[in-house]
Amino acid sequence: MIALSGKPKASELVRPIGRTPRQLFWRSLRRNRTAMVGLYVLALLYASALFAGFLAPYSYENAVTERSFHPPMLTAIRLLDEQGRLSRPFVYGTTQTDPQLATYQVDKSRMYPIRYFVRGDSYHILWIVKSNIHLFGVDAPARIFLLGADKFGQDELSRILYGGQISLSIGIVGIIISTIIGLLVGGAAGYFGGAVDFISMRSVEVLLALPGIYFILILRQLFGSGLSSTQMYIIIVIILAFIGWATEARVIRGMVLSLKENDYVVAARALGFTHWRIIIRHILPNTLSFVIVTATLSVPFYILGEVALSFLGVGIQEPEASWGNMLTAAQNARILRDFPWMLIPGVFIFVAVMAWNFLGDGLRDAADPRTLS
Amino acid sequence: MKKIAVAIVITAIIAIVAACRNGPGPATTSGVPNPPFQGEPPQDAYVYNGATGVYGGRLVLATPDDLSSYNIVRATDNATADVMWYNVFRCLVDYRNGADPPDYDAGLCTRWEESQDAKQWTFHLRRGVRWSDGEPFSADDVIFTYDVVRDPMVQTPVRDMFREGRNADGKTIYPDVVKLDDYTVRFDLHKPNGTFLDLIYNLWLIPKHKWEGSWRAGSFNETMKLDDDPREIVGLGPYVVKEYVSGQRVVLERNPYFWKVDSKGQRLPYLDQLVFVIVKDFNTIQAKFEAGELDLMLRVRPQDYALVKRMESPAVAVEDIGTTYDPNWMVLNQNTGVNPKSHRPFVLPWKLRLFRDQRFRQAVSYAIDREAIAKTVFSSRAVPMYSFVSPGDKTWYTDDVMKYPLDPARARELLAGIGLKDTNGDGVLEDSEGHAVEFNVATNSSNSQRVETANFIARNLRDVGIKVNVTAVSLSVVQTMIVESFDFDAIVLGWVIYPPPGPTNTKNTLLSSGFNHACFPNQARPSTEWEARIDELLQQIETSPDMAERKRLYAEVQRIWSEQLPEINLVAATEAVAYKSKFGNIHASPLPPRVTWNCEEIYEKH
Amino acid sequence: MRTFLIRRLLAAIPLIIVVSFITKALLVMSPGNYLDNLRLNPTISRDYLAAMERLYHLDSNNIFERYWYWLWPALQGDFGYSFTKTMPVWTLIGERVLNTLLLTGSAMAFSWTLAIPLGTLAAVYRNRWPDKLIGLLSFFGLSIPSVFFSLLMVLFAAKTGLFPPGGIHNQALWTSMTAWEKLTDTLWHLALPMIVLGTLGMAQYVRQMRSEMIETLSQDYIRTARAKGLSQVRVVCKHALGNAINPLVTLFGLSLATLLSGALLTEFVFGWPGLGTLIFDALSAKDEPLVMASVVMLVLMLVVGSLIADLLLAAIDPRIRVE
Repeated sequence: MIALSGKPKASELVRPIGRTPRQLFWRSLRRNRTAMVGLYVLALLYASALFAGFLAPYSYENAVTERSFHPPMLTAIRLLDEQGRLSRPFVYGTTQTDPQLATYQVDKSRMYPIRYFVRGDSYHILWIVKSNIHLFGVDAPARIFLLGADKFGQDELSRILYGGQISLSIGIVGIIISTIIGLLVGGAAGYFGGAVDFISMRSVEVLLALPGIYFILILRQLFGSGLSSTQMYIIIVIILAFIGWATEARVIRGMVLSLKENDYVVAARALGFTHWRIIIRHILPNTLSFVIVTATLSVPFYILGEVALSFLGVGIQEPEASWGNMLTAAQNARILRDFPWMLIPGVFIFVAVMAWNFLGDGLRDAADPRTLS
Repeated sequence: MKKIAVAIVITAIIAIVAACRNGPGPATTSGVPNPPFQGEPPQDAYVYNGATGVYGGRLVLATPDDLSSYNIVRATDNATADVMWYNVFRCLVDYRNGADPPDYDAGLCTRWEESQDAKQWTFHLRRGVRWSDGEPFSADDVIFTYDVVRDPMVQTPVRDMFREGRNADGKTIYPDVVKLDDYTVRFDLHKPNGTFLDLIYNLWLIPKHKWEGSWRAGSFNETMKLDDDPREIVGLGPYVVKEYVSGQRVVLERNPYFWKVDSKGQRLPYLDQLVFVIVKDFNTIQAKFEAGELDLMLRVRPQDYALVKRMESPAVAVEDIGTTYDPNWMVLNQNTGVNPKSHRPFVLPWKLRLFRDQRFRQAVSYAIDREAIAKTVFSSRAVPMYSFVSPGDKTWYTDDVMKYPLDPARARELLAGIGLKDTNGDGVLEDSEGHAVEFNVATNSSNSQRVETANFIARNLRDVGIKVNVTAVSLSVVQTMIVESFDFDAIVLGWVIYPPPGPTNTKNTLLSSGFNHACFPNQARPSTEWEARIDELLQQIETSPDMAERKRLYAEVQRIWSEQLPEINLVAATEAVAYKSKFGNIHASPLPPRVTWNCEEIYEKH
Repeated sequence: MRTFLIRRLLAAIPLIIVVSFITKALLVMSPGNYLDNLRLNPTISRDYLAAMERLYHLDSNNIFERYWYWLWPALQGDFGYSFTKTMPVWTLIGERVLNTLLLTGSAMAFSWTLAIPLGTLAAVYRNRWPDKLIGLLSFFGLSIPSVFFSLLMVLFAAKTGLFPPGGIHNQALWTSMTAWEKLTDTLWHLALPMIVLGTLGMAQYVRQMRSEMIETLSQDYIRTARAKGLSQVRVVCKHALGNAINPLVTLFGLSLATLLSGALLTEFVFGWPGLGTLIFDALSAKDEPLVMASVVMLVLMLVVGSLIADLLLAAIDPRIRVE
């Protein structure tokens, strides 16, 4: 509201604080609550994947046949002992009453306190740090299945944490690969034009024009024979990235086309810089915001792609855990009715994908000048 | 906007109307056969002496895949066999899967005679039988079918079953067939074969009057294609093909000329229609059965049993049919050969030494916890197997084989006895040259039970110091490994046993020259004494005319197999069937086709 | 107009050639072939298999040679017989294509019919609770794995009996149904797969619609209309909607590929006999003629689909004219 009478007094003037585009970007992002929720959730998920070995009480293939399909014990943690006194958290032992129906009975005579920083199965963090200390656990021979056990008595929580390592990292590795390819191809196509442009864009059209899943299947057939799980992982990521780089490449090409008319490019040429130096050091960095947004929004494609491949039987194989193959294993009418905790990996997939979508959406809004508040 | 709103409303109305439809209407069981029978029952009609039924009704069941062809001579894949064999076509003899024990029965012949030396087999055909198009059936049809099968220009796998070797000129010889009169044929064999009926049971008869022309013109391979008019498919089974929609269903309806009657003089089959719904996914089969769309659930797998059992009610019967005949096994590659392209041996020499050592194989067998596999992987619906014949096969199974109850101590003892020691303390044994005992196990990824079994075995073997890497690949890759490329260390797989069980159908697995002798197929000469002994025994079985003698010899083969472990047999699953109890005369058997083997006797109660 | 159509269809030909060549190459390079399925049958001999290999040209590993064996008859209209089913491939494909079109078409209709009003509502009530609710719904649609969703639906159907657990018709009774019964039966079977397949599309369109609507509603002519006294409904429906729909049509063309991709998984779980399951089975069995013909069909569907999308766009937007 401008006072209608006279000039505003000097003391009433509010001095505008200048903000750089980057600061505006972050400010806008932070204001977006859903995006921040997504960011925190992702931070939590990826941190738990990184420290999966520590957080999980057991290794992903630690099987106990007598605990097949054991129900979750999260709600079975007790704080009051027999006499009603407050004690450290503990669980009762259980015995299997019927192996075929997988029913269990609580045995109140055996109490197992939950211990912290226990020694258990050994694991690696980032292939470097080796340890066998786990955040929590119970004394042998009891087991603590916070989220239940699967058919072989393997702890679901542990498998979900280890599975997260694969399912979550596939997204990151995938977008790194497809972004690099997209930048190079799009950059070259936009900058050089001519034959390079023609071939690149026709390839992009082919890739975009066809339903990816069929080509993923056909490609996957190509690598049918015996592969170790690491090789399988790499191949799956490469195949998905092979389909995934197309969209980015096309738009980057468009951006490069307009960017290359800028003065600084002309100047750089005059100074004698090589084409590739110009592309990589001067042009592509200006596409950064767009690249980040697209990459973030593409992560779900990789996560869901891994789920689809596992469902069709051509993904990561047992005994390695991935959220995709855990979900596939749960797809049996009996399991879904009698042992519904086997579906929890699906919830994790859903949450992870949602979080990436929230974040990507927020990034897009933050970078888009039209929606600046 | 208005138009959109109108569209929404209309769609909603349609959806609501559609949803109000409560599923398929009730099937009418009228008591009157529809389509009706034609002509008179044959003078030599087969009289079925079991429980009689009433006419009408329809049985709906699932089949996991499309047919590949109507041409019964050419196509023998499981999906086609399950629909076309027994239901649309028949042989000279029938096989009663549900009998105890399962055995042969008169089919299109009234009786058969075997000569003393098992070289001449005479079949007396039923008089008055007509094909499904009304034409009379006679010995000419049998001879025609056999001629077609023997014709090298006809693409059929049946021909090789009748092969008896080569004569002096190098030509392949087959048994001769002689027409004694219009209703009697005799097969003259060059070598005695006491199990000749097993081969006759693969000769599904086709009509001469329909196909002789095409055969003589050389175009038999193009006959009976899937896009032909189903009415052209003429057979002697209780049903004919009425309709086929690819990917959806095969509808069979009554053959009006079928040649069986029941003890009251009523002609069979009782049911008007047999509908096979094509459903690929097992979970969907179970869901459809529960929703009432399917009348029968042929295979209640171990993992489904607990759920399906809960569906048991006065309206739904769930029957345990016992142990199946199908063995699950693990094979260690003993192939001494060399890859012709790369000139490298199929198996590394130090591994081959171990695999070809009986003590190593026995140690592996002792280390495997079959009971636990049965309990977890198969949800307690399996029994351990120590030789290649499943305990479900009451005719041929012998319990007198070497058994391997879980004994890791004994396994370690045997391994130490070969000279394997853990020299560097990493938990894995090494041989005298320092190689860590580590090998790959391949299995097919599409079968989750196989993958779980293989992983289980890996865990078991880890406990005795052997490191195993499991790789799950597509079925075709595993099959290629077994029969062609031989580049594997170990494989976990299983066989499907079709009737009749016994030495005839297992020949290619047991013989050292057999191409399914997975540990070392196609040997020109047996590479070990025990393989030579098995070859010899199988030869004796084939030429022996006495069933008791054959059983004794087969038992010895099983014994040797269990001691030498060319395949380390693991478990055999137990199965169940579920069906609506409004159907009578269902005698389920673990042998395929489990329930429809007596499809002409099944009826729907009123 | 005619030249435009002809040019587009002609441009599809190199696409088909490239795609079919790549498919053939991958088929040849991958290990094993169709006959492997027969090998494990103990009664089939090596000679028979060798004869079959020669017949189907499976014995050569030269990609160009194998491609030519397919291409030459194909150019004359003969796409061969399927290995696994002794039927001409086009007969097989023909039935399946209709089913897939039915599924994808209805899913598309479902997405649009829901997305337009929902997106508009979200834009009009921006930042209030309808917007947030619809936002959550669309995030849900974007994030849920379709396989998971399909399976939940099948189970829901089995448990409640409200819908059939998969399939396209009631197979047992189909031939004895009247035309009306056939229609309602098919719709009844179509409902759940359509919802699953349409959810993803709907989620995307809702968000697009919302942002387009927001932008349109902030335009000057909208303020003019409001200032003139027109009711909110009139303003939105008559003036804003038409302009906001435009980009959606472009999106339609681009999302065809995704739709057909998703159709594969949905068909799989629901047992819907469509092109997706046909291709998957053909791939698993390495039924080469069927795979090749199906891939060609798929490309054709996409070409025609995007052509329709472009024509629609031209029809709606007077600024775009086909040349």
